[in-house]
Amino acid sequence: MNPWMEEEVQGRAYDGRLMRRFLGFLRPHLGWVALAFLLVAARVGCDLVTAPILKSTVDGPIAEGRFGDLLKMCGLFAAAVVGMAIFEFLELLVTNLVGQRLIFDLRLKVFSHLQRLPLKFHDKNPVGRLLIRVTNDVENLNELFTSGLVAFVADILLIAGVLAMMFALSWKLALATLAPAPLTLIAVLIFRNVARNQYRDLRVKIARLNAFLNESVNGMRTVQIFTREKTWLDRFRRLGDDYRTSSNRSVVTYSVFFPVVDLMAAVSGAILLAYGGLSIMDGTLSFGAFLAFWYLAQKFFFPVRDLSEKYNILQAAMASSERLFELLDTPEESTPAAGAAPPAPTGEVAFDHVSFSYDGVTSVLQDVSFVVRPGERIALVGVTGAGKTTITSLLLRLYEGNSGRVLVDGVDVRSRDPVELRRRFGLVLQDIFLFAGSVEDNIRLGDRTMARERVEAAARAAGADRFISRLPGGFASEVRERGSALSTGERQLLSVARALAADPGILILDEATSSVDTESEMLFQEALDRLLAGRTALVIAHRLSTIRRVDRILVLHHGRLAEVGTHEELLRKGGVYAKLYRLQFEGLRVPSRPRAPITG
Amino acid sequence: MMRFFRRLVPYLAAYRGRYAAGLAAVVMASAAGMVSPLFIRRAIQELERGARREFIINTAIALILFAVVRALFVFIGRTVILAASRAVEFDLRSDLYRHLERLPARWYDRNRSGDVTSRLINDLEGVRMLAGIGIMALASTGLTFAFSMAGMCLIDLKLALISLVPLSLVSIVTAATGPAMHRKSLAVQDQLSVLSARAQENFTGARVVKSFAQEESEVDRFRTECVDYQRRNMSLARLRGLSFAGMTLFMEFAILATLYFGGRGIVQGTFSKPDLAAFTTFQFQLVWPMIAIGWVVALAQRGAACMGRLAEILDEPPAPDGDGSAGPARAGRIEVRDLTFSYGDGRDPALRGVSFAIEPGSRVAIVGATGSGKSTLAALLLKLYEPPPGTLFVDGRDITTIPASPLRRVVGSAPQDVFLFSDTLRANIAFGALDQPADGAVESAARLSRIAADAERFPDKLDQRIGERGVTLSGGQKQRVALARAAIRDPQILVLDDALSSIDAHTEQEVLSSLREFMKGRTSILITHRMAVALDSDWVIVLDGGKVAEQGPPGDLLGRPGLFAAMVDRQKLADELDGNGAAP
Repeated sequence: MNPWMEEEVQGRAYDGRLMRRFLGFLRPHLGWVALAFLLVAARVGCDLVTAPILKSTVDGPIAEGRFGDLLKMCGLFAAAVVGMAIFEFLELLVTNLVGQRLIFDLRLKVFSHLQRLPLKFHDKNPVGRLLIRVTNDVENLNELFTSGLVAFVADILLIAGVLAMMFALSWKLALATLAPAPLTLIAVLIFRNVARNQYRDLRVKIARLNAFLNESVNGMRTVQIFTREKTWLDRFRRLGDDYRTSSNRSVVTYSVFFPVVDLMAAVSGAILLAYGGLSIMDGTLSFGAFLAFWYLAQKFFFPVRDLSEKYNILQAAMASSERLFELLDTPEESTPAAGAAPPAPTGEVAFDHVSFSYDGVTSVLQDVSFVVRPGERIALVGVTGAGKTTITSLLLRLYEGNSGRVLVDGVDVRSRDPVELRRRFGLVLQDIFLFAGSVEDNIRLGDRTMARERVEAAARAAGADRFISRLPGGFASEVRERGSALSTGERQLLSVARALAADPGILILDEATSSVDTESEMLFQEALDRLLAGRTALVIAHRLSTIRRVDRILVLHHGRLAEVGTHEELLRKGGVYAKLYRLQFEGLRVPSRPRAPITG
Repeated sequence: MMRFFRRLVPYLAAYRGRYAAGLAAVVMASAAGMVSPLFIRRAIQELERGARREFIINTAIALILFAVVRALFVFIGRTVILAASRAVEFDLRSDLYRHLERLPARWYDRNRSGDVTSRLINDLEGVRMLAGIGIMALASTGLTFAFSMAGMCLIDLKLALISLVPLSLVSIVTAATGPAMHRKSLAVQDQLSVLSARAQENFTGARVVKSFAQEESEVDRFRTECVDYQRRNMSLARLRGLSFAGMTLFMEFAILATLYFGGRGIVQGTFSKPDLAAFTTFQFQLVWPMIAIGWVVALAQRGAACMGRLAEILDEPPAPDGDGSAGPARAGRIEVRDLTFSYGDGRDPALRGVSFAIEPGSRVAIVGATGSGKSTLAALLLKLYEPPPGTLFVDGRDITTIPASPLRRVVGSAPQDVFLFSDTLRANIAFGALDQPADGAVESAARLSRIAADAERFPDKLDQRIGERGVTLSGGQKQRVALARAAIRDPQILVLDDALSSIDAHTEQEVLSSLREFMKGRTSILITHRMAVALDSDWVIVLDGGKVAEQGPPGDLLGRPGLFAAMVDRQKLADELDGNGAAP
């Protein structure tokens, strides 16, 4: 399912709890926020001051024919206008600065938080959903600040300023001119209610349409094979029609609203003309004041329209902030109290009656117990799904056992800091993962204190130096996870170099099932020998040569530890291992039957 | 850009009546809007002459009436044009969807579904904006500008031309900063993509990141991208700030020019106070069009680009669909003659020189390792891909001459990776039926595939919704739904492509026993890893690396040393192992 189809749920446009939390993110930038508001006030001030200037110019120099003063007043007007432009520029700059800093902080916070969430969380949440959190949702919060908070304050200031000036000029005329304002307010409130419900309805309809579309595109082969094109097109058209009906409804709402606001503005103008005109005749109002009123009335209805348009933005932003805060509230991987010193790195690994299930239903490991002594090499053997990878996952505390204890260096992994624990291990995995960055980055793996010499020595010891020196940028060559120019053999050597550089106490090696060409294979085996020397090692073995090289073999079968012993002992025993050996390590490979899920 | 506009024209032309009516309303609305400054001018002129009170009142009433008329026309123009754009959107979307249904599997192999979906959502929106608000705004900004200028010229030509200077500067600012703004927005979008890709890589590799304890350096790398994103955004914000401030400045300068030159005119007696009031009102009405013009141009550009991306889909040639009119007879004889097939793009052939024949009503098993070409055969038979002419025959007719639809109507197939729709179990099974399934047909298909018993345990039985918003089915259950889907089709040819692989051994036995009955009289092709199934069929074809390694009745193949005999042997061993370690 495409995750952006799920985002149909829309919350309220304003939620005090969310807003308070959002404001918390503004705290580090309080100075800039204050400056932004100051600039808004200055801009609005300059904007409003043009009205009295206009009045004075018309009533003074123009009415009295003082030409020199006209120039002076126009200079004043120009100054106000230039000030307005400058403040507007600065306001946009500062507002954007705050907005960008805000989302920078938030995005990093969300991203960092996601790094510390347990793997179980990642298993449950599709990547697309998380992506929307760090992209769209975060961007929406930028809107909440720039289009929401700042624009709101500016609009309110402008409305308040216009009101104040009008009342200062003539309170009677102000009251008369603004008589339609309450009506406008009612229109806005009605519109808001109608628009909100329609917007929700529209979101639901579009989400349905898009979900169907997404499903169709993904399942088009199935639709075609079963000759369902016509039925599916009909269904799609029906959903499209539903959406169109809803959107037309919302078109009508908006089409009513904007002309109504314009109409109210016109009514205001008409009242102003009638009442103002009569006042001029009575001599209670100057023409300049009339013109200033006219000018202010035009400014009054701009923010009213603006505020209504911002409504949907606000609604989307609130929904996004709710989703973001919910994500930030998901508990991170538990870490022991700070200051607890890591235990002595003995290199001993033990499983003590460990049982585990990924979903709470299907048991993957059942009552598994074993001890790997420091420096001992162990092979894990079993069919696909027997639980080999799960054992390594539990060791790294990627998941936690349902019962029993997993001990590394004699200490329960649950009482260790996960990052510190994982740094104890060196991993050479079947599917070699290269991080985006340079070759050197991939060897030092974030350890900035590691000397360059050590990186190079590790590459040499792994036999990776030869191909690295052939790369155009040497150690600085960029590698990418996909589309990288490195061959499988080269990646293998790089992953050994990585492990050698880290000099880990315990090694986890997941062998590749199929070997690359003979030369690379020889290089790789030599490198492995160097890596294995003197370390505790757990190897998920797929090769005869490896099985012969380890001290003991643990045979996993259906989640249980079926047999333990050396290769010869187990062969002699003629049990599970003997059959596995014939199946996996001898002759041609036939795909083994996948293990059936219990419910299947 | 014009090229893409042209693609949109036929869709717009379908609603030319509505567009004409809507645009006429926009003309009327713009014209009505021009009346009020002139009315005000007239009223103030009367005022200066010491007019009657009634005149002022009447003018005010007339103003309101005109505003009502204008509001009405704005409403009509807006609803009619926007509704037309929704109709255009609907038509275009339906056409796109219909076309998607005709595109071949090859096209779907090449294109990511996310990209296709995104075009039908985001690009279509861009086109709709162009066809609706874009056209409307273009007309109303142009007309408002023209009418306002005309009104101002009517009052005082010289002053109108003077105030045109700062006004045109507004447009120049928009036009001048437009391309740079576009470039910078693209730069922002690009960086957002980079940032997003970075995050995606991280989330996808969450397991690896944790295993290697790479959280810190991952955050560092992500921060670098965020810093760059912030920098690009600020660069855009600076330009945008300049542009907006420039617009404000020149807008207000138009009023300033009116104030100065108009004021001087009043003093000199060539201009009047009523003229001044009317002029400033006209200029107020010009604010929006002047600002909007840049926005409209950007909208049009985006809409055209979006239409271009949609046209790319529409221009894709649909799957070749044979030339014959009649479908194959329902006998179901299949013959393959020296078939070599490659998926193209320089890939090695998936099938090399494969030949065999399947008699009507017989049961054939195809076995072989992963990648040996078994599923390719099934895909070719379903006409998902086009084999070379003269290599694959159904009922004696070259498959390339048979249209896909009648052929697919006689084939019932179940794949290994089942695609179920987020709908009820019943709907997913009925999906396979040729027409509305008869009463009880879904139930009997569900019983046949042994999914009926599972359905009994669901709260809504067969009407249980499945998928993300319902019950999640296991792999084996999904495969059995697919089997029911193939069975309800009552097909002449049954193709099971490793369709039982996730079903547990016990249930598999049950399914096989009911299938055995079902397959009687139907041509059945069973692609399988399960040797028991192969042993139970009339004919076995063993594929190895795209070639037929051996074929014949299972008994014969078993009797001589070869790939099949070895496979059967090893399966026996695996079965033994399976029994060996079973929980006590």
